[in-house]
Amino acid sequence: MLLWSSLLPILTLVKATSTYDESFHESLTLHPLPDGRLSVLFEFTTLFSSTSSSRRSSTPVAQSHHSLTPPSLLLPLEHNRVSELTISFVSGRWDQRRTGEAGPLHHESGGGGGEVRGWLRNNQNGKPDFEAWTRVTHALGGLFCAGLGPSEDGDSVNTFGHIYPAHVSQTNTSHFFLPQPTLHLCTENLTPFLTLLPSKGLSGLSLLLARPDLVFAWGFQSEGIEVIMPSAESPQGRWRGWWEGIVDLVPPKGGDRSFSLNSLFKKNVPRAFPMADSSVLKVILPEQEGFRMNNVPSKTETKWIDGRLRNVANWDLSHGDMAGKDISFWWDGEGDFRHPRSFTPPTVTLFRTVIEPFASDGTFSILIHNTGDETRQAVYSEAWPWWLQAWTHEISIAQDKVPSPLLITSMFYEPSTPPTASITTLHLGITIPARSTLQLKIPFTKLTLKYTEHRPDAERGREIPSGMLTFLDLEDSDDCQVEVSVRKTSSDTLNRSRCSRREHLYTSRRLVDLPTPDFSMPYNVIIMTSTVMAVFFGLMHGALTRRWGYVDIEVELDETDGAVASNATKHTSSKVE
Amino acid sequence: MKLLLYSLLLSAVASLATFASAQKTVTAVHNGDVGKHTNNWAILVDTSRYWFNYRHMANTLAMYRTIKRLGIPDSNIILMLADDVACNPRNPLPGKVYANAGRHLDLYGEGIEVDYRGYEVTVESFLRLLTGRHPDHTPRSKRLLSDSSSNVFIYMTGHGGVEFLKFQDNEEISAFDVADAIEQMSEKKRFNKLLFMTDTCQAATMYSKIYSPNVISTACSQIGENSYSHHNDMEIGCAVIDAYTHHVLNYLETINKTSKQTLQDLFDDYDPVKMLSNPGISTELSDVPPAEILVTDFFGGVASVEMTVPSLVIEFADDIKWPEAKKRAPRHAELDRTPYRRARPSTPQSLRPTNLDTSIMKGGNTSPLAIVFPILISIGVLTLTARTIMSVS
Repeated sequence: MLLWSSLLPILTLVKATSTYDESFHESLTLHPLPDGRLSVLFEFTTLFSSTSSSRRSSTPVAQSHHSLTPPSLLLPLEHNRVSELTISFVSGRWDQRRTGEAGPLHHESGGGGGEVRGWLRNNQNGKPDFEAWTRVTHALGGLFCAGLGPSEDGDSVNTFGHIYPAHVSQTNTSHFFLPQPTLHLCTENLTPFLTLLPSKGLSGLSLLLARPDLVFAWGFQSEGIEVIMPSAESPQGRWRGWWEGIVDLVPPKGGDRSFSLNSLFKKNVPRAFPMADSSVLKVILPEQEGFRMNNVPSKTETKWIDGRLRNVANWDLSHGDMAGKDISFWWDGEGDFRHPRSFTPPTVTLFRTVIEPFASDGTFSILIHNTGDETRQAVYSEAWPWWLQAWTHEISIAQDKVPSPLLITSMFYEPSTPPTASITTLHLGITIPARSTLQLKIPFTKLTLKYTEHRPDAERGREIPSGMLTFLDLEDSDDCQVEVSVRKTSSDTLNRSRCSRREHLYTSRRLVDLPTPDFSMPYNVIIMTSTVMAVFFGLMHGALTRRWGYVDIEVELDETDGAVASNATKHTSSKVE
Repeated sequence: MKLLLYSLLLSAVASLATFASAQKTVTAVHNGDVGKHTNNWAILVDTSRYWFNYRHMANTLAMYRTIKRLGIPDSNIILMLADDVACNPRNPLPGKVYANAGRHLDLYGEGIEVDYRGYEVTVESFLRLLTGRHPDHTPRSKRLLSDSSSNVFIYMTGHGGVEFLKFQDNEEISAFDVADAIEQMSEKKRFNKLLFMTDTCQAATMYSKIYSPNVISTACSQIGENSYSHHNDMEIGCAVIDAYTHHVLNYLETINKTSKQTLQDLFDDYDPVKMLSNPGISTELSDVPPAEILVTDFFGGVASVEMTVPSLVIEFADDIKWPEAKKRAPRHAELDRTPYRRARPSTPQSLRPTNLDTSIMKGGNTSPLAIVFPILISIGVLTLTARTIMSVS
């Protein structure tokens, strides 16, 4: 009895410290696109919180008690005092004109290639902790089998904090942004992603994703994670992983667009992951009529997606009765799919090209189309490597080919510091009038790189990060929901471009060709220089350190030969050292 | 007060004696384990980029798959691929890499961890990996965390020439660099035995400068010879594997984790006609002939267990019949001594364990008096000294 009474407080303590508020949610979103393709998005969200015991200690995460959260992901973040962090990989190009959508379904997907961005607590001096940033990016690069960390100190920038504001506002933190446009996605990046999930690609929706042979055949891929660490002020943490791709629905030899889970993933609805609090299949229903399905959804909701009011069908997969079934979708009476000749574009589109491309110079031409009825406020941002320098005084903007310099409302420019590795950042505040096309021109010069600064495949050129447009005037969801209720009573079609959660539009990354020398030239120069030095220095050295003269050599002839004994002196010229 | 002092002194002496005996035990264990390995590491390097060098990536990935099959975990394999053919836009089979035109086996599969890829594969990163000289922030997956009990397998493939191997398209590693890096590894006790295998033109010249002990090297071709590809896949559009690697892998496919095949069996399987070149073998730096080294010592994760030897063995009187206890002691002795004798036949006497160490390893033939007497004498001396000091003060 005494033993039990003494053990009771200990057991209570153990129980108290072992119950954590963790929950796991997974969803699969399918979105048919007008060009006969389908956007597929997997999202895995884990909510976790710091415990009362760990809050007393200095660590915000419940160490050694990870049940749903991956310690290999969270511990490096915790050790390096990370507040929020996002990693994004994008392979392929998102075509806004063909898809009719401004970007991938997941809004945190970055531009082309890879990028890491996040908020870190400042160091003891109250300054940005670049060392911690380097450590954490390299650690996560090792985790994701990708060189995510900065190769040199100046590769990261701090001027994108207002572009990517923190989800949870905290004081004494700094923002870091590190674009890695050369990165792409492959199986070695998917493997660790699946390992981080509690379902490990073995059960639940992650089982559908664990098919690299299928998913890497898709045309566009985006993978990423977003982590919000718990802190003393906000004990709720969240980490979310996403994987997105574009599947061609039309068979290569023609046919209709009908599809099902089995035709996409070669599997039926998988068995529910037991630890998942929710497991949902969502289908964003196409706006044109005739879309059918063989299974009645659990519920249908209405949502603002990219400024358009869309119906979204939901199936709850967490109930066991869905496991093993296939859900099919088709368009009524559709024969062979005929590719549309024109697409309804998204309200705002963004393209970047290089015009006047010379060996040493060029001009970025950024086209911003606004087909909406509302004037938009936005910031256009660029981050260039040090060897690309813009002529900021020659930046020009034209509305429908008429110069309109007043549309640039503000400019922030931080030049790089060549020849050390550094990043030029440019942020332009822009007004985008309704139903207009803006052309922004930014002339630039490419500096000459040293032999050792070129990539191993120098002739290919080098990628520069995507340009991005950040909207400053998005409406919050409450206001938009009012519009939804209004629409229910009126027959007007609503197209409110501000009713969207997409804050950023990205251009594709850009391959810039660099003046590339003939790499045999350095060897030629070295050999030539060495030869000249050897010949010249050898001659001069000889002339300065040696002298020419005559040396007397006494030749004694053997007397026994009967020859005339004589002392002959032979004059000969020889070198005297 | 005096009692306290005496007890302190006694405990100090006792702890010293214990420490000394522990040290001897550690030494004995260390010496007894010479020749054994407890873990395996592998570094697989493809130094070529571009699509037309598909076969070099396939070589490396096929080797990666084989050593994983034989038991080396991903955490102990450092895979360096200078380019990515699996997700290359030119690949008609996205996400897949095949090393045979029949496409029987997808080498990229599901679980793959590439540690260095693309531009990260450089001469510098390779030499840093071997020598362990990394910046502090280098993640664990990019480090060779081997020790003196590790067998390390290094496989390199790419385009090479006499005493060099091209990395990417702009730099070369020389045979001298490799030799010096391996010597640093040897000095830093980063391996127990090392197998260096190269598949490149003039490959034998790559190991010709290695001078460190316990290194066995093999290569696909001699100086003046090229390394040839084995066959093409018409849909992929280029050669999918090199002849030498293809035949080594064919041989390795015949063995499993419990195989008793030795390196000599592997070398005997070399066929210059099939490999289209004369493979090179160098074993003079190893004390142990290849006929006594298992293939799985390098290509597999089959490691021997380190036996810790008890520092104090209680000997039982004859009238107590505990047959298991009696048998155990000689079994320990046999386990420890046998591999030692086998592994290092030419070790000079001075390097062998001292008699005392051996006696501890054997399980204690030394009389307890030999240990107790010096301890008692030292206690006495220390006590006298302490008393003298106290009386003086």
